Amino acid sequence: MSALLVVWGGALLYGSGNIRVPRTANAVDPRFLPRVIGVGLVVLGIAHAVAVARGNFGDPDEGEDVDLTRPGDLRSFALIFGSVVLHAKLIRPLGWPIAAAILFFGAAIALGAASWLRSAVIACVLALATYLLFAKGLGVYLPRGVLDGVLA
Amino acid sequence: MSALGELIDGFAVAARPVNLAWALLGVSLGTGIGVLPGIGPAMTIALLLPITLKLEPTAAFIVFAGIYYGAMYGGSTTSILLKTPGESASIITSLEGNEMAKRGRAAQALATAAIGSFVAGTIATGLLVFTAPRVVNLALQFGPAEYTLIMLLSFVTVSAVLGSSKLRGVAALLCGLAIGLVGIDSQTGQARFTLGIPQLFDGADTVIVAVGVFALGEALWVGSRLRRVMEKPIPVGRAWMSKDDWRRSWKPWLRGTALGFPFGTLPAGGAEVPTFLSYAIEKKLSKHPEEFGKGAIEGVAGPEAANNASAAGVLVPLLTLGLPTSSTAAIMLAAFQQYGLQPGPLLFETNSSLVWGLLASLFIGNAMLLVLNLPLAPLWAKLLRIPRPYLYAGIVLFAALGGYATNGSGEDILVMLALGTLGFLFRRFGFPIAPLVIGSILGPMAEEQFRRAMAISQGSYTTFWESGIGKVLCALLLAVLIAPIVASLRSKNRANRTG
Repeated sequence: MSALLVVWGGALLYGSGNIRVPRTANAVDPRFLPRVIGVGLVVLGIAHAVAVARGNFGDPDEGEDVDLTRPGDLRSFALIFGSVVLHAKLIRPLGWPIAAAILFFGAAIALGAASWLRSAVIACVLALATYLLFAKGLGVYLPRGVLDGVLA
Repeated sequence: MSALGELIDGFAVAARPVNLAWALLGVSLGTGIGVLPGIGPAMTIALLLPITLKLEPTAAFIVFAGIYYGAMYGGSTTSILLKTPGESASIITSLEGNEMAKRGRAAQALATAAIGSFVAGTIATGLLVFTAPRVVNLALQFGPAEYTLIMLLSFVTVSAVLGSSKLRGVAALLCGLAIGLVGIDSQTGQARFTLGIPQLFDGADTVIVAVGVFALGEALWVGSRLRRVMEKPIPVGRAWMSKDDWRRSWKPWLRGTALGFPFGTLPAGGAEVPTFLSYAIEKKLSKHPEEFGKGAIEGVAGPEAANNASAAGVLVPLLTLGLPTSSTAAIMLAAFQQYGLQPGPLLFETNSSLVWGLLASLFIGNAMLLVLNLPLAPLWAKLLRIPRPYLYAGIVLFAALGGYATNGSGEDILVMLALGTLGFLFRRFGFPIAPLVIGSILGPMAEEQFRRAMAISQGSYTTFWESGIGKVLCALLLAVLIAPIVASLRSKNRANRTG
C-alpha cells in the first residue's frame, strides 16, 4: 500500500510536467493541484511505511459475511477478477447474455457455490431475465451477439 | 412562497399515482437491499445509477429517496436478527437488539426500531424542510472563496476526524482527489492524466468510480474472506410491542431524534457518533440500567431514532450546498450531476418542483416503510437465507452491467475492475472508503471553486478570510485541525502523570 501511494504520487508529479499551461491561465495553473496531491501522496506513502514498520497496521474492513479469522483467499479473488476480464472481452463476440451468464457462473464458483449445475442454471436464467428487463424493458443497449435472431 | 406552501406543492407532485408507485418501488428495494448483508445504500444507489438514466429525474430521485430511507429500516432488521453490524452506525442496534432477540423479544426489538425510525424520520424530515430554505438564504451569499472553505472543511472532517487512522484517512482522500484530476481541466481546457485515451477526457465517470469501488471492491473483498459457516438468523414473527414497551420507548425516540439530526447536518455527518451518544444517555437516564447489554429496549429505540434522524440531517448540506457528508450522499450528488443538476441554493429556484417533490416523497416513503416493516418483518428476514455465492455473484453481474451500460464499452468494465481492485486493497489494509469516494466526486468541484476564487482575488490568499462567513469558516477549519492534536497531547499528559 505504501508503495502504491508513493508510485501514484510520483506519477502525478511526473505527469504534471506534461500538462501544457496556456498563457491565459490565471493565478493558479492546472499543474498546481496535481503537484500538491502528488507531494502529499509521496509523503503519506512514506509515513505509512514507517507506521506499518512500527506496528501500526490498519484494521481490515469488517462485515456481515466477512470472516477475518480466515487467511485471505487469493484464489477467489483471482477467479472473480478473471471472470470480469473474460466478461468484458466476450461481450462483443458472444453478446451480452452469454457473457453475463459466464460471469455469474465464474463468480459463483469462485465464491464457493456448492453445485455447478445449479449455478449454471441460475446463471443462464438470471442473465436472460436481466437482458430482457434492461434491453427490452428499459431500452438499455446490450448487444445480442451470437444470439442475434434467437432473441427478438 | 413559504416552505409550507412549497411543501404542499411537493406533495401534489409526490402523490401522483405513478410517483407513488416509484416511491413504493424505492422503499421495497431499499428495505430488501438493506436486509441483504454486504449491500448498503451507497452501493445500491451506485448500482442503480446507470439503470435509472432513462427515468425522468423526479421519478429517479423519488426511487433514490425510498432506497435511502428503506435501507436504514432493512439494516436494523439484519443487525437485530443476525449479530453482525453491516455499518458502524448499527453497531449499537446489533449489540442491544440482538440481545433482545436472543431472549425471545425479537418482535419487540424490530417494532421499536421500525416505529422509532418512523417517528425520527418524520420529525427530522420536517426539520429538514424548515431548515433547508434558511440555509439556502445563507448559501446565496457564498462566493467561490466560501465554497472552497466549506469543501475543505468537509475534506478535513471526513478524512481526519472520523475514522480510526488519520494517516489512512488523508491518504484515501488524496487518492480520491487524484482520481478526480483525470480529464479535461475545466478552467483551461487542458487534458490532465488522460494517458492520451479519449474516453478519459471527460474524466473518470463517477458511476464507474462508485460502482467499482463499492460494488466490485466489496465483492472481491468479501469473496476472499467469505464466512464458510453462516450464522443462523433468529426466527421472528410479526413485529409488535406491549403497552409497557411503548412507555419505555417514546422518550428515547425523541431524544435520539434530537441528537441525530444536528449531527447529520454537520459537514462531518455520520450516524456513528449520535448513536453512541444516544446509547450512553439512555443508559444513564434509564430506571433499569442493569438491563443494558442484556437487551434493554431503550438501547434499541434511542440509537435507531438517532440513526434515522441523522440520515435526514445529511440531506441538508447535500441539497442546500451540494456538499455530501457521507458516501451515500456523495453517490446521490453524482446522481444529480448525471442529470445535469447541481445541488445547491440555485436548485431550489430552478428545480423547485423536483426538490419539494423529493422532500414530500421522503414523508410518504417513511409512512410506507412503517407499513412494510411491521407486518412483513418475517418476509424480509427470509432474504437473510440467500446463499452467499449467488448473492455476491449477482452483485458482480449488476456491477458489470452498470459499467457497460454507462457508455456501452467493454473498456469501462476494465477501468471499473481496476478501481474495484483499489477498493479491495483499501478494505484489506484498513483504508476508509468514504474519503476516497467523496474526494473523487467533490475534488473537481473544490478545485474549480478554489481557482475561481484565486482568479477573482488576483492570486491573493487573503480573499479566504475577507468576508464574515469566510472568517467563521477559517476559524472552524483551524479548530477542526487543532482539536485532535490538543486532545492527543492532553491524553498523553494524563498518561504521563498517572503512569
